[in-house]
Amino acid sequence: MKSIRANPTAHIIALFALAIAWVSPAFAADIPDDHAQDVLIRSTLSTFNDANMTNDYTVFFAKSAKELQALAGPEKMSAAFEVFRRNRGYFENVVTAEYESSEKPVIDKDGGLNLAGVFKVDEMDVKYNLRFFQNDNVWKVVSINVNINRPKKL
Amino acid sequence: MILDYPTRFVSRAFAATVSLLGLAMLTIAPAAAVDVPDDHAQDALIRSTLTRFNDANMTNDYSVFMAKASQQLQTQVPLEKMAAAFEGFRKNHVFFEDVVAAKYVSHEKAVIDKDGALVLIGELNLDKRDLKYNLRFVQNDNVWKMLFINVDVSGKKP
Repeated sequence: MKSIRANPTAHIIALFALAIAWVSPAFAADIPDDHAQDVLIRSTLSTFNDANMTNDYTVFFAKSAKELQALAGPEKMSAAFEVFRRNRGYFENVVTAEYESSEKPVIDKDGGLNLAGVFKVDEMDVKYNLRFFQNDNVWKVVSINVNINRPKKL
Repeated sequence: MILDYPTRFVSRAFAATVSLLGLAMLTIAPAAAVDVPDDHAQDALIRSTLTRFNDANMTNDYSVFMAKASQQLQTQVPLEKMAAAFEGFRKNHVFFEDVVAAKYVSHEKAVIDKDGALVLIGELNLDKRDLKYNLRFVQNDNVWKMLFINVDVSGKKP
């Protein structure tokens, strides 16, 4: 089942989620170390931001989990994340941004690795909630939820 | 005015899993009065460019990489040529997703050359390899866009 949620609130806050509830057998995967988590988070968000900036989701699609690919092609992703382009909710500097906070990573009952936190990117807070499945022993994104919070202009 | 954009592709292989491919562009353009970006902006340019380049190599899809490149590069190099130029990375599985979190081994002082291009050169320590980069950017609509990339990954594959 796939759900796409939008929750725009004050001052161009864009929230879009491409979430997949997937029932698959749990397996014994270890939580990656902090460095590997950091790489997963930044590289996923960077690829996602590139897709939004170019309205070309083919690379993001190709790098995602097969479970996500089975449910949403690049065109569907483009439609789902249109609000990022419309509001120019871009965060290219996420590759170097500082973490404001991060939740403890967990592997859920379906074997999904869940990574959530907040980056300070320029003047924005970029809140992310990412879920990964292992495909051939590599963590691949199966769900992405990004919420950009811009400060009010005085 | 830009007079010429000859391209050249350089391919070399060193020991083990080493691959070097460069997509070089020569431009003759008027020097523009632009400032060298600060360290943070340089770092973001380097990592985002290398991450995008790696994404393209991993997927053999250079459309996003090209879309984010300078108009000068887009004009001169078709996607197929780009994919062919960097085939060595794919063939040798020389991928470096961890570049987003890699530490710098060294880097040269950023300069803006006589053509107004920003030149960023350095070396990053990947998990088990070193990556040398030589990047050149030009401004399109006041944004630095990639014009040239040369990446050399050395060491054993993780």
